[in-house]
Amino acid sequence: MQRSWRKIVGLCLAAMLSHAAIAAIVAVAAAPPARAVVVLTSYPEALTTRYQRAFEAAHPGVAVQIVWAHSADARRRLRQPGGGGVDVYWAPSPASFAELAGQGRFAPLAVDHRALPGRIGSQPISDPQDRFQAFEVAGYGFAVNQQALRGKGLAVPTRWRTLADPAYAGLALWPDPARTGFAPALYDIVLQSQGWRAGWALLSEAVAMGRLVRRGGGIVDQVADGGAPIGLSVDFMVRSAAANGRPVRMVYPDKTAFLPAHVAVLARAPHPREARAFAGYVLSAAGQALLFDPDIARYPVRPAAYAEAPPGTFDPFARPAAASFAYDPALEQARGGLEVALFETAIAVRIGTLAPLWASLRAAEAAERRHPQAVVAARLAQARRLLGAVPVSERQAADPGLQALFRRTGDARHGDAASEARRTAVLAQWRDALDRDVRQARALIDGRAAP
Amino acid sequence: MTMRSTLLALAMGLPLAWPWTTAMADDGGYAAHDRSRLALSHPAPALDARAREAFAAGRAIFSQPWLVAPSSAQPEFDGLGPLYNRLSCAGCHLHAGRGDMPDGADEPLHAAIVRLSVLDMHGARPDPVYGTQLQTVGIPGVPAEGRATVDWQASSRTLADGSVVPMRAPRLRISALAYGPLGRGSRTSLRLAPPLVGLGWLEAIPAGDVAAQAVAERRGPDGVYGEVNRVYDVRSGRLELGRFGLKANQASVRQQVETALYQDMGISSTDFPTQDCSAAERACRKAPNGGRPEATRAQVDALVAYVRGLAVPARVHADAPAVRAGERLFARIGCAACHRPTWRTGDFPAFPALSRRTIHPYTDLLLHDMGAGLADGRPDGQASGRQWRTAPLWGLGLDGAADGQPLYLHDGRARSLAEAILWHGGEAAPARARYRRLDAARRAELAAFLASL
Repeated sequence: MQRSWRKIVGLCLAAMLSHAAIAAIVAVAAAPPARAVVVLTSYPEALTTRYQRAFEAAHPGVAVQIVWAHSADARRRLRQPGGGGVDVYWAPSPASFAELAGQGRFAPLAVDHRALPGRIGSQPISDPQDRFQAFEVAGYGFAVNQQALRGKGLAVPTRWRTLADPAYAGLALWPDPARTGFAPALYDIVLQSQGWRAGWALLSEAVAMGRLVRRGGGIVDQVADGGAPIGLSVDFMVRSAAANGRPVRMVYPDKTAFLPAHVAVLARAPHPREARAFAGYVLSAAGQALLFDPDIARYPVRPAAYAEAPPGTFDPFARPAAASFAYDPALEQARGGLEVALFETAIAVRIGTLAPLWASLRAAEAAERRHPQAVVAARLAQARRLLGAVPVSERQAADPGLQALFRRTGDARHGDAASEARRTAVLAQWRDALDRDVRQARALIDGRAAP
Repeated sequence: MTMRSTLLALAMGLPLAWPWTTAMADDGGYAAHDRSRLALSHPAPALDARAREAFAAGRAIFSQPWLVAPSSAQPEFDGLGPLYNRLSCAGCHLHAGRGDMPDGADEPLHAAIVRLSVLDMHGARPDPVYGTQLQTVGIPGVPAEGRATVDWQASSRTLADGSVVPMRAPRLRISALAYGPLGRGSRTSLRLAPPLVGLGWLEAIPAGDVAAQAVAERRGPDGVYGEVNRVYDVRSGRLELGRFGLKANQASVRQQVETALYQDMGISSTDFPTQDCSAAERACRKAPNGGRPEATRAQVDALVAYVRGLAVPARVHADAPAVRAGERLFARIGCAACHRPTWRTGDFPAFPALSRRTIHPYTDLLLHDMGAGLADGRPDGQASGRQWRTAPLWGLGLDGAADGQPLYLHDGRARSLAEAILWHGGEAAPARARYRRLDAARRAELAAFLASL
């Protein structure tokens, strides 16, 4: 390094002159290692840091170590001998909690059920056996840029069905469920609330009419930036953006669900006392109040917390019974991977084909309405059924064997060679069926085929 | 609008609505008109569609927690640590802003770090065991290097009119060192993660202009004597003008980004291809990595595009009489000698949107002796243990917008602008002395000006 002697002398002098001051402000202590609690999570760092700091301030001498992992990686870590050194699992991944509890990996985590009821309406959100507890809930629906929507003279949508209205063509962003963590639950809510067949038909038409976004995490920013007036999303991203002053708000459609995230203490936690303290803290009144932080924006599971909520905060516990439906999270846990595979095969990779076909169909239907003809109406109705169909019935989707073929990465059977071959064969069958349906639908729309 | 800005506006008789100023600020496409908690995180208006796309990609990576290797779910982001400080860039720079300091004596640092070195006859070198930074977290199975906490030592200063300003200084405490004691002659430097505001624009200032500023300052009053830090640039293999970091110890945004990935998150990259484990850190050396390098060139490019493309918050109330009076005072008492208000960027082919713009960062990018009170005693490149780079002041009025508590200076010790000014010593001592003699009304004008930035 080219450093002048003057500079070197200067550095040494400066160091010597300041040594006394430095000695006064630095102490290297031979203190024992701090007590620790190792928390495995997939929450964003803005959330974990807030809890980390608050817990450490409330429990001097205990350090929180965050290990960040997606649910598949988390399950693999927790299956390791000794639970991978983890004390607490804390994440929005209901399927993982159910599976791990079933394997006996969690210690009991009893709470005061008067303060933490463990259900919203009729929907259980905590484990009835107290092996894991709900920590927060998040709802699914529409991120809306009202100004952008108003500029187009359109009302704020309040039903899933509205997104298949031609007036909303090109306005909604849909997340790709294969690449967006929250999207499988969102699509399952559509399928459960609308019914399997009607739900797929709605998704096929509405997604083809909108825009499919590869990484759905950016949807809220795009809506807030005016890139699109509507985006399908989980609520905390929208609420956080709104709380930070961005022009976007969350709208819950007529039938949606609020899904829980959980916390559990590992049965083989290396630091059981600290683990229980951490889990207790996140469920405490103080811990639940942190969920209103604008960078977190989740809904508490402690109903009393809403008394201190910022003005205008939606309260899922106060939602009218008529606005909810009996969402079954176990269904998504079982068939979610299959639904993602169906979405990819039937919609995502065919969107370039589907979009013009749906547009042609709607044009033909409009023409038929102006000049009604029973034969044409029947032909177009058949085309609509074909375009919106998936090659798997709801009953078939309940088949554990088929579900197992499409379980998400990281699960036990994934990667097995025989399963891989069978999955490839099933996908090929689906593609053939879909190709056939599309050909037939096109012929029906063009008037080249009879119903 | 932050509570502090609101109170200041009320106190100075300023309107509460934002009168965005373009006449004085000459925003030239670099300023964003927002004073919310997200004010520092917007793309600059000058960015074209392609640059915005790269900015968005970088923003996603900026917030992405890095994962313990191997990850089947997101292998493109595995390789965390094995020793590290934070999981993601946003962990220290929430909304592209600064970090945070703990309040209590037993609370560990989260968004601040401790730089390390030993000093011997050859100068400053990394600590032989712990390297250049104390990494306070390890992945499971790898013991953290140690624990860092801060005790605040309270004091006060009295101004000429009898007003008392509460002060505090940190007493850094390092404990639970897992790999033995620090090296002989160890030096530590407590650092609050600084905000990222305007880094791209500072990079676009021609190096020759910064060097000329150093020459020009020697002719000025007060004994202000700014010096350039010459630092090793890994990519060019040469000594270059340092302009980033609290001691101007990085020459480029790219190297700043790669160094942060390497030291703060333990992520290797093209220019820092190895794992940051010393010979004594055996578990660290044996831990799995996330590929070689762990951050791809495309990921680093995206992060660089994000950092370079960040907008600077537009000034507010700049034409208000009190603010203008404060700005004149700022120059008159000598602050502007180092906090140079205006620069012109040069040609910047790497990111053309930044080229040939008039900007107002309020820094000379030079090193100054700031006195014993702020000295860390840890040389860095050619910066001495008493020298710090003049902090840019753009966005200063938004400090605390994201977390409600303003924190100033390299270690976040100052909770008010008055406290920050009173810590200035060394070359800044004459300016500080003039500030102490200002009456309350003049100090309020100066504060109004600083809040307008």
